[in-house]
Amino acid sequence: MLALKGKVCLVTGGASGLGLEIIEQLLREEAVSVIFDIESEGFRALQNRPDLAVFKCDVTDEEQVANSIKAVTEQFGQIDVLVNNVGILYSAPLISFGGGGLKLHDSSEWQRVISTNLSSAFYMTKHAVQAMLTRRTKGVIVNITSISARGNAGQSAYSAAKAGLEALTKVWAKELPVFGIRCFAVAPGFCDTESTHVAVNETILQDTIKRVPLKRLGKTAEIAAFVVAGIKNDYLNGKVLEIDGGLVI
Amino acid sequence: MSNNQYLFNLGSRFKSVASQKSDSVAVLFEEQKLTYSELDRQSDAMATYFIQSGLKVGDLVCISGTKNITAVICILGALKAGVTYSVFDPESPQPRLLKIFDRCNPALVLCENQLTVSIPSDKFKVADYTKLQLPANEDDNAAVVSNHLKSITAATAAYVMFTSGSTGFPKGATMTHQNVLNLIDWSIQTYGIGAGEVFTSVNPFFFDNSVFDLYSSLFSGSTIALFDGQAVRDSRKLLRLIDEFKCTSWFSVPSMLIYLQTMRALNADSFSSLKRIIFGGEGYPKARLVELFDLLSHRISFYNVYGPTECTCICSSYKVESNDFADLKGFLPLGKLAPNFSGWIVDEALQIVPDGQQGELLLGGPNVGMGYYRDHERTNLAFVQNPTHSAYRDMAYRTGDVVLHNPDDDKIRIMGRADNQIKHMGYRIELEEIENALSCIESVAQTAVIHCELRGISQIVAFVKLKSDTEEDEIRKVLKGLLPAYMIPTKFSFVQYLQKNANGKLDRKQLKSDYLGQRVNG
Ligand SMILES: NC(=O)c1ccc[n+]([C@@H]2O[C@H](COP(=O)([O-])OP(=O)(O)OC[C@H]3O[C@@H](n4cnc5c(N)ncnc54)[C@H](O)[C@@H]3O)[C@@H](O)[C@H]2O)c1
Repeated sequence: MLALKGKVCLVTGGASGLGLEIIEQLLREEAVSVIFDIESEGFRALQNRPDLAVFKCDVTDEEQVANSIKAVTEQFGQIDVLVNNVGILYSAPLISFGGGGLKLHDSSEWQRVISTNLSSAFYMTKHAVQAMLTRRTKGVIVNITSISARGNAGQSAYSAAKAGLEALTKVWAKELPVFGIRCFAVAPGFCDTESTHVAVNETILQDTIKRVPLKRLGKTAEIAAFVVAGIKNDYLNGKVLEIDGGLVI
Repeated sequence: MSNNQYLFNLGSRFKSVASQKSDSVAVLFEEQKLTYSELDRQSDAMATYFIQSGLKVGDLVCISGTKNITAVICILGALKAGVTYSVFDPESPQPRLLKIFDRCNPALVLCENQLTVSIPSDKFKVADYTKLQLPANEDDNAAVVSNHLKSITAATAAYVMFTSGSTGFPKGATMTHQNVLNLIDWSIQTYGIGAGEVFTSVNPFFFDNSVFDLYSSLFSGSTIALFDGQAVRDSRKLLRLIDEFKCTSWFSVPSMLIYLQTMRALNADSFSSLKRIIFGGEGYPKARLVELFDLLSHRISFYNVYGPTECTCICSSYKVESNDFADLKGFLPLGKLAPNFSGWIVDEALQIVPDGQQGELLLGGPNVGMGYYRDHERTNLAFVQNPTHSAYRDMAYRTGDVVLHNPDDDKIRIMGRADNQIKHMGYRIELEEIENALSCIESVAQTAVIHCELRGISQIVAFVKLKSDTEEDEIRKVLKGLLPAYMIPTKFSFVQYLQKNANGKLDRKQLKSDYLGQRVNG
């Protein structure tokens, strides 16, 4: 088992929601917890926390990613764990009728979702793995995907991005163990986070809850605990762990 | 130091120090350096400006600006003119600032950049302190000041320090020249402050820990090295400068040291000239402190200090020893009260409790301040007669801290609070002030704010019941306009209903234990 005390753990999108919960649980394990996120009031508030290292980094911008990873390695000497958690939920059908006409999935939204949910993890992992190799750290890469990766109606971009991330998980699980790095993914179902309530309309959400055998949304603490357990478990590699209250069985 | 002169106010005391140390460095800031004689001359000019502008002994001057040498000159000038100063966070929300100004009616507001503070000049006399036309004739200034110093007594108020208040209005703890003179002498003796000392000033001047930095250094002939907010956040640069400036004494809240630890900025070679690390304002989780202690205690002494703003910010100093880490749970004890302080542990009726029982700590003696500025009501609640006699007027301050004296080891330990005041990053905050601010937000139906410690790190959690959909960031934005940054909750939890207790009041205790329970089990 990997002892997290003193290990440098980097969580993207760690300033809110699931990412912040993962950070809190890593802190409980006495890990050095580092956040990459973009400017927001919540982000600014976290900068006052003495127990966190918070870096401003838009993970869709490879140059920023490279510079920020460099700053982390300079500051802390190494990176042991990377959690690719940044993600935006976006729902739109490919084609829909409404407002008196035919509406097509916006391509710029497609680009935005792919870039935030998929390309970001590619940039982050590339540079983090490089840092792990130079410092010869045995590392762990975690990708936060979603059960939508199975293909959710109305979520072309999101499902594709998350499926892409699951594919990367498997690729890296095969490529990276020679360097002492393993990789796995956690695919949450619907969680009780602000972003869920903002992105999913309340009736759809209530319908979804009815379809969950456990009849409730997941808690971020439950998902985060699962992520941390996976990070600690040295035999976990290449798998996508779904945690969704039994929504997809 | 006093040359047998009767130095009964801070201005005279400073002049005496400055005359003996005229060529020594008084202040360091970035690339700037000021000797005692320069600081004396420049603060004479500032004092003369105050006097010639018609400010009288006891008038209030509010200073709002970032930390720099000019701010130090303003403070010393005010002391020499017998004008009471109060420093404000330039980033503090304007409505809160104006509410305070309205209450305390300053004779002059000095700020660094009028635009950023935009104080209404029809209501207050405002000046940009970086652009003041100060009287230039040094001999005249010195003469004006030395004549004026005679009219400042030890009972003149030196400064007013504002802290959060439960009604949503901050309280201005008012301290006299005598209070501060006592602090200075105590500090010189307790820490054996001698030649060549350089004090760090990492605390902002609007924060009460800065009182120690400023007075222990400039009134003992030592150097003060100023670090502004930006410098403090850049941990590596900060440590480099501290070594370059050959700082010998560090004082901060534990949070700041924990941040340096978190950033892995400290190693066995850090703080190369430091003799002592003093921390206070909040508890230092022993589990974190021991790491620092193990790293540096062979050449640096560690002190845990405690004290309320109303009593010059320090009333006890406890030297940390290795056997304090026999167990790593919780926080250090406070140790004994400093000499010239009396302390009693009392119950709600202000009766002294039997030794070994917990109760509220009352502080008495000549370091107890004058109460809250222009606020008789709250002064009367917090400042009470010495519980041991009624022979004459002898005021004691109710700290609100619930403490326990252990007769076996003769140590006092903090057990909690008698009210809803908390310490967050060393700042005193009344949770009700945050609740008041939240209630001003249109979409908030009801709210309860709690404080807890997770792994020893302080967190403010706001439970909010919304009337209409609003995003957390939106709420944070509105709060930013109402509260200083350190009062904005660390976490928001949006709930459908808020737990009440049997009396129909918000059940903070229950909310807190549910919240912590979730954290631990989740
Ligand atoms: N909440 C759910 O129900 C749920 C379900 C399944 C999967 N997920 C996945 O979990 C992850 C976290 O979701 P959440 O609900 O906590 O989201 P969230 O919106 O609360 O948090 C996402 C964080 O990422 C940050 N971020 C966004 N774009 C960024 C960028 N370009 N660079 C850096 N930071 C950026 C945001 O500022 C935010 O702090 C996502 O990958 C999401 O797809 C969430």
